[in-house]
Amino acid sequence: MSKEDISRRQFLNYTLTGVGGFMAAGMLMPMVRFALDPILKEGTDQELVAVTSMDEIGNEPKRFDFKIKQKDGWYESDVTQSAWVYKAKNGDIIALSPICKHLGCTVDWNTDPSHPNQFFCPCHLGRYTKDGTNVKGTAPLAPLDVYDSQVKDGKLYLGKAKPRKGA
Amino acid sequence: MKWKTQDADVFLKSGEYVDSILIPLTPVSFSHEFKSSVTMSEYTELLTSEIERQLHGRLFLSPNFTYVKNEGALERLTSFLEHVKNSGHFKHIFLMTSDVYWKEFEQQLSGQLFWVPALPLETMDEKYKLEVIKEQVKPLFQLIFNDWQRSINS
Repeated sequence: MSKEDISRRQFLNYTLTGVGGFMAAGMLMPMVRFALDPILKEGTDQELVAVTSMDEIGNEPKRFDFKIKQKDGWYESDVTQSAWVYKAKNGDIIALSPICKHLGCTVDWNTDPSHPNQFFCPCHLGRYTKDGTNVKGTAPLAPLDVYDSQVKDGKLYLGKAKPRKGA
Repeated sequence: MKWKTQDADVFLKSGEYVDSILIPLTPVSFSHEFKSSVTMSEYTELLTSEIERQLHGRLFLSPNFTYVKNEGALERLTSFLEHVKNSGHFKHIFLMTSDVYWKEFEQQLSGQLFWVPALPLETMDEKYKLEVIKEQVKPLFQLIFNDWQRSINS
């Protein structure tokens, strides 16, 4: 008679636990996966949004408003953003974020009569030159952010506003 | 700045730059004025959030002051404004409402009242809505800037 390694009772126990465990895992895994889904998703760079057609862009900065979907964990919302867009002398399209680097007001173009052709922040009188560089001696300490931009089919697409080095 | 912890931290650090507060006055009713109070509140919120977005660094957007009409609303608002003033943070107090109720008390309130009748925005499409809001807030900015200007000159 061969050596009995395993009793009938043990064999049944092992098989049942094995099968039961497998089934439980099959049920629980998708649940855990769904619960964690937003965390597992890769933080993709913000999608480019169509803002305006190219023929509306001139040499003077013009303000365009557009909406982006902002994701904050599980919560998704529409946020209005603005950009100051103009064509530089060498033909490049410049899209500047209007958010003042001081405390976050929205800057306006050419509204301060004593300093024409500059971006002007009405809150604490901050000023920037046309290319977005902060004027020394005014409140802001960094130049305006620049949007990632792309031209496709005669339309301007804007992405994320990225900060630049201070002047 | 909004009533949020993130903005509150900035406010604690750079409070001296934030000298203005905007208080939305929004009615609440669940009886016959239900729908109109919702419309007014929604409209006021749209305007105030647009103003806050543009003047983020100098203007604090207060949480809505909600009230039931005729339930001592004026007394409550007066004591709230008293509190705001006594905090010493805000030189410029702006009140925004779509409810004509406040118009007759304008002189008694310690703050500048902006009364903007609500427009039925629910039927408009998004793009047009944005345009309307932009036009509506333009003169309000002028009033706010004028108030700021006056404090420089005085």
